[in-house]
Amino acid sequence: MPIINSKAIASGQGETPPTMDDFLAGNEGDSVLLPPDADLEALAPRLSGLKSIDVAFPAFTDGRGFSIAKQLRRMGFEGTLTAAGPLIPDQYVYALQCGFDQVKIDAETFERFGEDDFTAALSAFSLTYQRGYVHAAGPSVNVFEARAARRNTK
Amino acid sequence: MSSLKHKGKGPQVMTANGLRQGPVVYMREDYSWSTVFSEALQTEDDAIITAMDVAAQSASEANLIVGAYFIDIDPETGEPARYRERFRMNGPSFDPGRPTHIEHAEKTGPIHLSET
Amino acid sequence: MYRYDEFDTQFVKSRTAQFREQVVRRLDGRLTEDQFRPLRLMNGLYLQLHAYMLRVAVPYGTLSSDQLRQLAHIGEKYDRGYGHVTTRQNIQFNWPELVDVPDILDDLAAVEMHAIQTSGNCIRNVTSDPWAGAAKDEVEDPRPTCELLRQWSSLHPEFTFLPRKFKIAVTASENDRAAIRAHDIGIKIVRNDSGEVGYHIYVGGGLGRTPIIAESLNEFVSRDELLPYLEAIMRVYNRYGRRDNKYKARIKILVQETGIKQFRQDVEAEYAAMTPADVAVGPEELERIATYFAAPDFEKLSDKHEGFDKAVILDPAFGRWVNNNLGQHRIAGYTIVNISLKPTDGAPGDMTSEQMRVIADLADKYSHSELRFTHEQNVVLPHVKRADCVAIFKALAEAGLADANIGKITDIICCPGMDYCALATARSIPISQAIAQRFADPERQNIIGEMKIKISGCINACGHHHVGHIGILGLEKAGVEFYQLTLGGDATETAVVGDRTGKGLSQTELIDGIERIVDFYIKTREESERFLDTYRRVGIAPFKEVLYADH
Repeated sequence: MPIINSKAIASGQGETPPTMDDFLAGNEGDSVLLPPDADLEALAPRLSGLKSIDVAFPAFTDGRGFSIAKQLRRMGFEGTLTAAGPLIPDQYVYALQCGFDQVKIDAETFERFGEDDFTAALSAFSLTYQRGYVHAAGPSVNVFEARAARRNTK
Repeated sequence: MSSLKHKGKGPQVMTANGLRQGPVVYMREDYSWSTVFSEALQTEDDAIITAMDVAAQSASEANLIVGAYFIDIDPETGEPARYRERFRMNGPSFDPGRPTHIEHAEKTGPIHLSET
Repeated sequence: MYRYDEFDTQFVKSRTAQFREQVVRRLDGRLTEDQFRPLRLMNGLYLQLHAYMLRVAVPYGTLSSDQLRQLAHIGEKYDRGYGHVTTRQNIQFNWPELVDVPDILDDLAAVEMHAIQTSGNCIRNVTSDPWAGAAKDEVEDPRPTCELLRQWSSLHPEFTFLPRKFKIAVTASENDRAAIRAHDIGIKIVRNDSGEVGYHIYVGGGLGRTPIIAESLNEFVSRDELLPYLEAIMRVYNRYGRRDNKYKARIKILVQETGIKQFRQDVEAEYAAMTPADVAVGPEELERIATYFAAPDFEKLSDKHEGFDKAVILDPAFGRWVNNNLGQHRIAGYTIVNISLKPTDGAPGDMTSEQMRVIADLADKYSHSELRFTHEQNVVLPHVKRADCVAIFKALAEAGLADANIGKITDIICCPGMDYCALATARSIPISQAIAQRFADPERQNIIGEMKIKISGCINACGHHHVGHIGILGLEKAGVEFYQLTLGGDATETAVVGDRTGKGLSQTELIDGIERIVDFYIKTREESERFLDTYRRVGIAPFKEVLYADH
């Protein structure tokens, strides 16, 4: 499936990592595919051994992965986080804002939109209201922090 | 988009909403669409119904209409059998002190949509 | 009221440009309808029974006269010359065309309005007390908090694809005029024992198929804890709310199935894992927002005004209007004017563009250019001198806006129903009209007193029928409409879901039955009991008996 990340657009076939059950059942490997209802506490002891985590988005209406990414980063995961599923271009930005590095789009969705639409989505907004969600490639300014900075320079 | 589990009873009409402007439309004999119900193709012929289905898919992919589906027609009245569909045909029953839906439609005239 | 700074302006500008682009992509097919639908819903654009419907956001129900004028203009230019006030303080247009919507959004942006997140599985309009800033009984004006939440919830990257819609309401009074306990999150601004202002958080309320009154989640959340605490609730909901069944996907189901105790633990565990300081917004921001809600310069006046007092006696119509439609203002000599959008022969909650302009002019002249929409589908002029009421009444009367029925039996909350809505099972507007006609006599309305009838045209309960004193649900079988009743519902701080009476009725049976219920109440009431009080005292049985008396 095509992979899109903000640093380098790559449309190669990504490999599918082992499922969470398989990963936890074994004791090796540095990548895993999490379902949207993944029990992150069960994953926690093995987190430090992971280099790459895919999070499944079964449908673009299913936004659970955004919270999973947020929680994984909070748990200290610093490896590659990939949102995998039929995300639409607008969600590419949300994914980056929530801590994903890239999205792995299914072929049909990718064909429908193409790389350009995904890249273009990054520049739709330069601002975000919610603290903790800025991203250099997309909404890079937090409104509340910008206002505070303005006050402090007065 | 799949509209078609045709399990309707009696004569069938295909309806949808126009994408650009949103009005209720009905499929005509030439597979174009009209806001005027009396112009709608009514049929029980399975071959034609299948063709209508194909035409609706095509119109949907051509970004002409959205949400196409078949409706049952009451053979005695020639009008939609289902209560809800009669509202889609007639417009709101209540339009106080302002032009009714029918008056509006008469003023703007019928809208016809086709892929060509 | 709030004014956009350059950030807010840029944000809305980006959004309208984004949607314009999305419409282009939809029209040329790069977006399928399935992909476009959630995007257009998050810009408030529905496809209804006859046409598209655009729901414009009116944050916490507050707007300026210029904004109302622009809505009047939009109604005329792009629609059929009227708009409809909703039960979430927004306004809807029933006949826009998709190709025009980008221009409509630009026209809205020009007056600092938008249609962002008025639909979709995201956080919706934060609603509030329509008397905010004017009422005697509030801890503080709830609207700065509402504005903060509005910004915080706008295009939240993590919470834009929730299991289902999410509705928040905020009040600052013990008298809940915002129905907070019928909301997914209800917030009551309170003072603790040390005099500190904070937030009592309720969670898991909602109407619809499974009406539930919200439970208390946390009695006191401090100012700077508010955003992180809400984020914790949203994250728990986003992760664990049901996604298998659309009708079981609201947070109320999650709270019910988890139990409030466990749910509270889940939220607090999530909160404990967060770094609140990374989420919270400093107190200066709320202060900055609050400056926009500073009270106008009130004059020092007396409640006595000769012209007003004389007119009350000499003009019975004015007297009735004064008794029914004015709310008590916290400043002497001022009043809160409630404008009824419930004329006997009208569609409840509708305003023509001409009427909007009349109200806008009155707001300019008499109410510091500010007005409110209420969740009961009426309009409020919040800061009016009693001295100006005679002139206002005259202007309202000329525009068909002077019905003296606020809170009375003909002040009916009514969804658009089968006449407009793709989800409806039956019509609601004709029922509202029939009731209004039956009880048209103003004297009779005053004798009946406070009576809140709410009508929903389907089980989704947008008319809030579950919390009506008399609630009516419209259904249909084999092409025939019938109506089920609930009695004794309450949307205020004593919130409760109404009791079903049982068998459904035809329209005629319904109107006659309601009349019998009303007459029985009048016969049975003691002292100054409202209908709701009598119902609570005697219970449903005698009311059921009279309701079905001719069966």
